[in-house]
Amino acid sequence: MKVFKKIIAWAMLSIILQISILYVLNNIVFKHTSEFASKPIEVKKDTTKDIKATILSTAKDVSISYNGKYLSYKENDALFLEDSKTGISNQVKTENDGTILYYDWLQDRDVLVIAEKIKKDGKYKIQLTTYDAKSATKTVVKEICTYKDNTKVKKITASTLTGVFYIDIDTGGSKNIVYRIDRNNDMKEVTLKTLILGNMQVIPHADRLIYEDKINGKFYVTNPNKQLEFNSNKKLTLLGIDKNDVLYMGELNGDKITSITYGKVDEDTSKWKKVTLDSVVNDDDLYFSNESEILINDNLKGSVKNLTTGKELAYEGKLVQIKEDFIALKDTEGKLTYKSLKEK
Amino acid sequence: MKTNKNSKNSKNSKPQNKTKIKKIKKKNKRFSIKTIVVFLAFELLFTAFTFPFILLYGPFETAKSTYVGAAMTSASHQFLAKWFLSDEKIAKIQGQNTVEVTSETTDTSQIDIPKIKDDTIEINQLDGNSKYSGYWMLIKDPTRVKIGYTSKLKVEGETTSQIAEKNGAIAAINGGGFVDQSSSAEWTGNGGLPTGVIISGGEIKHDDLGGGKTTSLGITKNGTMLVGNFSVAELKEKGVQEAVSFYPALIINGKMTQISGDGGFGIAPKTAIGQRKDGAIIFLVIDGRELGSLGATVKEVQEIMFKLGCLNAMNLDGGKSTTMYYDGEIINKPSNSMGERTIATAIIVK
Repeated sequence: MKVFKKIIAWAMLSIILQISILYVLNNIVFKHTSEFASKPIEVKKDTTKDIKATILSTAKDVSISYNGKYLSYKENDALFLEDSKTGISNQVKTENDGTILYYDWLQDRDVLVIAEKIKKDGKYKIQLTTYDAKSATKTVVKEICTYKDNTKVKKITASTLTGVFYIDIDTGGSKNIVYRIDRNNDMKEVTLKTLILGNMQVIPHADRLIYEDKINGKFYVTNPNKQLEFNSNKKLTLLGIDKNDVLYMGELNGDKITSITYGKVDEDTSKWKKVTLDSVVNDDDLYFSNESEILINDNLKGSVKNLTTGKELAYEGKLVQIKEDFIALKDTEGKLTYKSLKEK
Repeated sequence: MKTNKNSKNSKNSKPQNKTKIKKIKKKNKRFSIKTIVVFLAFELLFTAFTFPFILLYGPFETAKSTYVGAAMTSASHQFLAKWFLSDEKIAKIQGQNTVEVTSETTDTSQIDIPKIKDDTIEINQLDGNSKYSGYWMLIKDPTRVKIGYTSKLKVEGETTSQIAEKNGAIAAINGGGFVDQSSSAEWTGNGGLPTGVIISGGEIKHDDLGGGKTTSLGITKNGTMLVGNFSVAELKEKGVQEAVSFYPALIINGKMTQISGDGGFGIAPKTAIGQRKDGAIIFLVIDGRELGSLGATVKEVQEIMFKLGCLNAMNLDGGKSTTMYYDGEIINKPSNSMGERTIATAIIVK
């Protein structure tokens, strides 16, 4: 009888255990549920670490790609790309004794846009190409025009969103021509309201070009055509445009900028925001961030200040460039370092 | 339960009335090694014999159908269900977990593709759920979403990251199905041989439908995502530039498709894609087969996509294939011991 009782007790113990486990499985573990909460996560990686590149003292026009992975520079008229993490440099080659007339990084790609002089069928021509830094491959976009002596490619502005390029070509002296090339590589000449062009800039989200009439100091937008009028008696300059299509205009005193007016082209320019700078700056000491904030480099003080947030980042060495997430610096030996702008 | 406790107590209390010596003797006897071994052996055997019956004939419906579903969808463990249940009973339990194939397909006029492109990509962590965790990615410009496929099609698969990197994509998730079999054994497919259809850049890269239809996802030139049962000819006719096949369709024209029970796919890591009314495309990955995140059923995935506002959505290949990639990094935790699995197709964001 005792043994029988014992078996019953043990069996009950087992059954109780099983039922509890199944209850948990049934009602908690396997329970049908699609309840959830969402929280955004920061996916940006720290690009400022492990930089091994060195900028040679003979290197000119050092420019860093948007994410800091590559830097481009010129040495003895040859264009080089350097991988910032390995420090390995490679020359960007051109075909048929071509010469690179102009190059610039695309806004948010590790891709260079290049205008080169090439010889084709016995004639010199200007050709637009892009160069992918990662795969080291070149893509020919379009043959633009014939090259004559004194022809200069003054500027290329492009939008990776709309896929258009605008190329400003100075034909020597008294006339600028701007060509527009679209995603299908179709090219047309842009009708301008001036012969001599100052700066120009494409709007990232719209296929519209903003340009300066250097003769009269006026500013125009294309497609549809419109003049941008500003209530200022000082000389103005087109400083740049950010990722949100916000345009930045500088008031000049000599060649230094004293104040910045900014807004979108479709907004009334009298309602644009204006900041007067504490001290005058050069336009290459300015950066306009993806959050539409203005960053200013102060070389003497050794700091980069965010005018919008008031945050200031002190640095040592010489500033190479301000980028979206970091500032690029070099020491006296030319060793490159990045300092994050996003750290709290 | 109560009677059991009482009987135990009475048994314990009895010796207490006797002398001290006897009590100690009794205690020694009670905890002798032999008793413990017998006790454990009994519990083990008894549990092993009764558990299948309590599970399969007891009141725990969810646990029962999960167990049967898991056993029956595996290749070599079907006996775990077949030993204890008649075929009819299995069919009945599985019949509660089914997906109905609908003839409805996406009505493209319901999706408003924005004229002005916004290249924003947002990644969100999905938490607060007791059973699973995951991530969902929002791609505001649907025209950036393309189908990438292994560069060694029909020979060898590539990982989601490899497909993304080779195509210069910023983000990616794993895509459609593939034959999970090598020449020698099942479940050893290297991901090289896709199933269904692949259209990439407007070109048909793979088609094993022979003119028939299968549940597919297509993206037109302007970025509208189609979900439904399509033949290759229908996809072409609708101007689809990118397409991949898997199943089931989860949401079509704002309506959840008929999924009974858990859908019959079991609880596992899952991948899904959907499009909101404003054209934004959503990638979803649910991690699984690990502590803290078991995975989700296809029904749960359907409800998540619905709650995220998808007007059209489709389930993609899950399990060990489930991967989300962004800018050189894997966002989720693929349940494959060797890291990412090599697969045939990925949905990429260029």
